[in-house]
Amino acid sequence: MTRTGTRLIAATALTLALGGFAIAAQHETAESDCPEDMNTSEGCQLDGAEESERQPVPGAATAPVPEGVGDDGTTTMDMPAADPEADAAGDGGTADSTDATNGTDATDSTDAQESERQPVPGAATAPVPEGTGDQGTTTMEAPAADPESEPDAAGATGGGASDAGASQDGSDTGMSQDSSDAAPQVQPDDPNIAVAYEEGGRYWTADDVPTFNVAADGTVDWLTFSGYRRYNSECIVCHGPDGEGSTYAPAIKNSAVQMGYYDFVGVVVNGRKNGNSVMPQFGDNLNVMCYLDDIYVYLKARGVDAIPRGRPGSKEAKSDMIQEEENVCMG
Amino acid sequence: MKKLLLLTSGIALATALPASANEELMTQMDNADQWAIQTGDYANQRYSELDSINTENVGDLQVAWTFSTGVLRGHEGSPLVIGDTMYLNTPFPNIVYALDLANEGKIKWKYEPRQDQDVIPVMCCDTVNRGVAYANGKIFLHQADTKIVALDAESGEVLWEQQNGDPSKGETNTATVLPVKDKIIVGISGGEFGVRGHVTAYNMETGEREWRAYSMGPDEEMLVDPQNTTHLGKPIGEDSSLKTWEGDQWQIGGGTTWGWYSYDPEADLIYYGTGNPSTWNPAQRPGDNRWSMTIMARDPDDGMAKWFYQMTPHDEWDYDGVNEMILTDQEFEGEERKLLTHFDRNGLAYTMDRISGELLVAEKFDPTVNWTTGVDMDPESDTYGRPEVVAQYSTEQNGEDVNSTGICPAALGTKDQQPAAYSPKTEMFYVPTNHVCMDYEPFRVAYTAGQPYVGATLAMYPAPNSHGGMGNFIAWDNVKGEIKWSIPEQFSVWSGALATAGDVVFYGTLEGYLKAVDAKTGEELYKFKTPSGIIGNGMTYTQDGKQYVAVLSGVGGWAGIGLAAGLTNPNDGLGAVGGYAALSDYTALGGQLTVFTLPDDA
Repeated sequence: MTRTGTRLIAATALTLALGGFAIAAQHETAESDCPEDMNTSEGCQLDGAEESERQPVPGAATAPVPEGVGDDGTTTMDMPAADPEADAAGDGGTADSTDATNGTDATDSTDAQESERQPVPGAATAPVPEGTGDQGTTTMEAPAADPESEPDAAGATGGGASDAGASQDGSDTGMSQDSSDAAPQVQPDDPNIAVAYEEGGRYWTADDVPTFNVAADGTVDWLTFSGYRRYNSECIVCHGPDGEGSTYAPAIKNSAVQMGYYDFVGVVVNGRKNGNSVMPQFGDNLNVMCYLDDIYVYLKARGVDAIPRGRPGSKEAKSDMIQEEENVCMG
Repeated sequence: MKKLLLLTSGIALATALPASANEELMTQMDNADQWAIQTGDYANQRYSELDSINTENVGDLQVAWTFSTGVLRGHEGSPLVIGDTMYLNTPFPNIVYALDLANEGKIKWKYEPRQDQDVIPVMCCDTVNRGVAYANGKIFLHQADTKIVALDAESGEVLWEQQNGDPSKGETNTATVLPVKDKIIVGISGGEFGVRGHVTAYNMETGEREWRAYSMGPDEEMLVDPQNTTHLGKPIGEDSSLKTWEGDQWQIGGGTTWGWYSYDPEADLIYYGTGNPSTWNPAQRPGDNRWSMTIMARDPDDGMAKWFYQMTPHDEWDYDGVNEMILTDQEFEGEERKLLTHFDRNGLAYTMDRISGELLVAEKFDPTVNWTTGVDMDPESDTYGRPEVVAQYSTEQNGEDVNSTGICPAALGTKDQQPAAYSPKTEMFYVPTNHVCMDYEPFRVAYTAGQPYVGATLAMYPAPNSHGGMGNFIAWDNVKGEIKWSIPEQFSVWSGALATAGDVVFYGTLEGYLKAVDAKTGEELYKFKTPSGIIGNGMTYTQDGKQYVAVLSGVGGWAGIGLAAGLTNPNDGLGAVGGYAALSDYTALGGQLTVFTLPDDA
């Protein structure tokens, strides 16, 4: 079979190989990432909790919840029932495990905080590093910080991300509390993007990673178009239209550029958790797995703004090879 | 006579015994100083007799106090007020708070369930929860993971727990529950995961399961009587559902039941609607797909169905039929009728006789609705009660892998779950609506348990050739079937309406405004921008002789998906996309209760 066949097999193997690990990791995540003594999982990150108090609230809020309250599944009467672990806790241990689980995001804590800033249409093209490396972006007329928490949840928001690429649609979500990676500043000749060769209607980089192809007249390759359709069926309910993110999931179009193909596949196959941000595992979902390259190249094209928002206009025909592979995969 | 007996026993046995629960809750609901049920009352009118806030003084409204829920996802539903206590809950993880209104809102107790986070991604469209229910000294929470918990209303102590569904198969919950008699009636979500919808009754005191009625499948599992359960006046006959599905597709057929329920104590019937058939690709499920997209009337004692009405046979657009059924007693063509009014996702507002299930009115409540020319109202016709589908907008007729464009309304419907209100004073319905159209391309998908089962690609955009906004707030005459007035809104109105005897109607907007308008004219009388977009429902109550109005802020839900980044119109052509407002330019995530009242000197 073709390269793709090999890849699918590889993906399956990855599922099997990582399955056990993923489960273990999830347990770890659940416990350390989100200490059960925290009041809500949103508040799992202390930073976030503090942030959210900055809301301009008319009038004073009522009695704050006693700290340490609410062991899960329990009722707390209004008495100081402090769970000793509640306050001090978790923190130390949390940090480590958070890092561990976030590893692929390349999100360090600084990034996380900075990227809470919401990008705003208009601020587009010019990311202004505010001493935070390339993740910081200017937010015009944006209300202060997004009272977010999720650590990796940062740049997500279409964070600087869409700014770098998006520009012309000028509508970044900026609302997600989850995040992935921030604004890709990528040139068309980037080795992760540039087409090195074509085979049966599929396009590849020099490193044999799937990529998109947009002709001079805007015609997209079949996979990019197919990826648009599959994305809108399987992913949109969390990640929003055109990969722009939603109020609770990151602008995945940026993740597709930043993460690299194999990490991207790994997360889709195995899922990932961060507090109350949960990416499910799609490893046994044919509607996703048989079109994983399609979705990947579509999102990558969106992430570097090679195609605008919305449905791609004209497309290449579906090749016999692609059709054959689809039939085999879908069974 | 039966009712009298019930009433008597209710008084005699006070609140201790199950049989009295219904009366106890009705007494609580009849007290206008309280908000004892999410829907305002059993009839789902969302109307309050309170009138100290009225059209003359509502302009002076001020924020009295606020409360942060500590959770930053979409906040639907509203608080309840029983006596001096306010009860409210949050999106996942579904924390419940009891606030002591006599003590400046101090937290009396707080309950935080432990739920597996794996339920989060199988919840289509955010982790919202539409509120807790009260009955018989208990607070009922139906969690995201479909666990039902009964809490002691005074102490928050867990009295019983019961698991209603299996999240690993995509079964989740977003809805409140309906306490009726000695039972609580609960629904299920998961139509986008191939869940087969059902409604289940649990014993209020013990949590024991008493009956379950599926939306589709064999007669005995749907709790229907082929001879006595009717559809538009005629018996549904045997295997009414099985005959309308290919093979065993009904087993993953959708028809979930996540809307607001109502109850008519006199007729002793509960009313609710069923959701879309799975998948969204109509070519993959030939037939009428009964009884998805159906209004159902059932006996709460045993679940037996009295009548059905399928609004959208063989759905091709994801027009779930779950929206609330509002019960009113009104004059219709010179005769007092017991009516049921329902604003469907498909853009048609139905007025029915709620006793017989007769269809009286079916009219578009947004003039842009174009997928149908209307419903066949001729009882003699073979297609009586069916909508006539316009071929151009039929995703079935256009076929798989074809993009049908310009369909109005979009899949989120002319109205989604955001509940309408009814004022008996004006005899008008106040309806929050969406003004959004779509392109829809169905394609083949495979089913995997617990995975999305969608099979269509959608692009949504503001209704073309209109005011450019994505919503309207309208007043509707359900007898004539016509719009009385309409307020254009920039975004979909995703907040439930509240009507009051003060002739003021309240609703929230996605930018975060709580708005008060004149019930007769729609004139805007007051607005205040709360910290986040509003997808919750307004409610009102009295404390120490003062009337308060409260609403939850916290943008999210379906609205948080598409509108956050702004919608684009692919028909504008390449390069012209992005001209529409993004919600993120106006608001950010939040989770807050804002309570309003008049200043003391007003």
